[in-house]
Amino acid sequence: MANSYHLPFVSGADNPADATTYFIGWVPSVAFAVSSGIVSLTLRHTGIIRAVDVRLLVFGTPGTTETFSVWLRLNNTTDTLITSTAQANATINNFSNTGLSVAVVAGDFIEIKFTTPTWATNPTAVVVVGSVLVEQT
Amino acid sequence: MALDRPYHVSLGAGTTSPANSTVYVIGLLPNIGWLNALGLTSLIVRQPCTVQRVDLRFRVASPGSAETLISTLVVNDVSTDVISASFTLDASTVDVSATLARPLNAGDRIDVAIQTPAWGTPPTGVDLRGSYLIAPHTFDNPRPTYGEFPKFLLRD
Repeated sequence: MANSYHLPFVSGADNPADATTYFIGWVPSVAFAVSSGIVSLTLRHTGIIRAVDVRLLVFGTPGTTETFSVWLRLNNTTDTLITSTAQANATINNFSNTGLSVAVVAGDFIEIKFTTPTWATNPTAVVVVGSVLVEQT
Repeated sequence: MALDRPYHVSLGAGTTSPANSTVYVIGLLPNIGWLNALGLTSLIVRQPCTVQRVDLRFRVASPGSAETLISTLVVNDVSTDVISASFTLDASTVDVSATLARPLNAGDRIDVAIQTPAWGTPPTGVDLRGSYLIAPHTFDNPRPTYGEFPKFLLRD
């Protein structure tokens, strides 16, 4: 994959609520955003997103084992599934999708989006970190 | 092995008063204090590439005494390259860097480790910002240069 680069993202720590959609980008000092466009990453080259790695870190109490989905959201319009089996029941929870082919152009913005389940026990002090691999075309 | 244009990936760690004789692991969490567990801060590279350089800037609210620290590049939880074996946190700003040539495979994880000394006076209020300089390998998709035919057009 020539001429490609990693674009990191990270959130501040938060205590996620049940059944809520959150957006993650690059604002390390801010908790999870509940609206698109606040923490988004703007791309300045045409390319193809090839992979996304998401690490959900639980620095407080791990949650119970309910699963939820994580997506790559493009321009607050299009969702591409990263995983439908995410959990927050351990300190380190890694999810990745290395088989993506999401075309982007200069000016597009991306976020990591997830919708929480209704947990029996909610995780606390959660941080989301990871990176997006973009191949320039 | 040819290298494509390198790019920077930011790294960092939040404000910490580091303890004596402790190994910290630093990476993609600029808002979190220094951590001493592996697997939390790693960048997972998703392409064959080479780490060409690591730059670190420490900002120290209260500088410590002059005992030296060691920083290393960590690949898949193993230190592979020394970034600096002799830097100190006895000033308000400390820059540490190294030119490296560490090849990585797709799926490798990288972090920066910092080994603290037993200080006479430990520094307090230390944060860290920096970057990896990473060059992708180009062998799977070589681009022709001017005047050169793409290989798939050449005949025996």
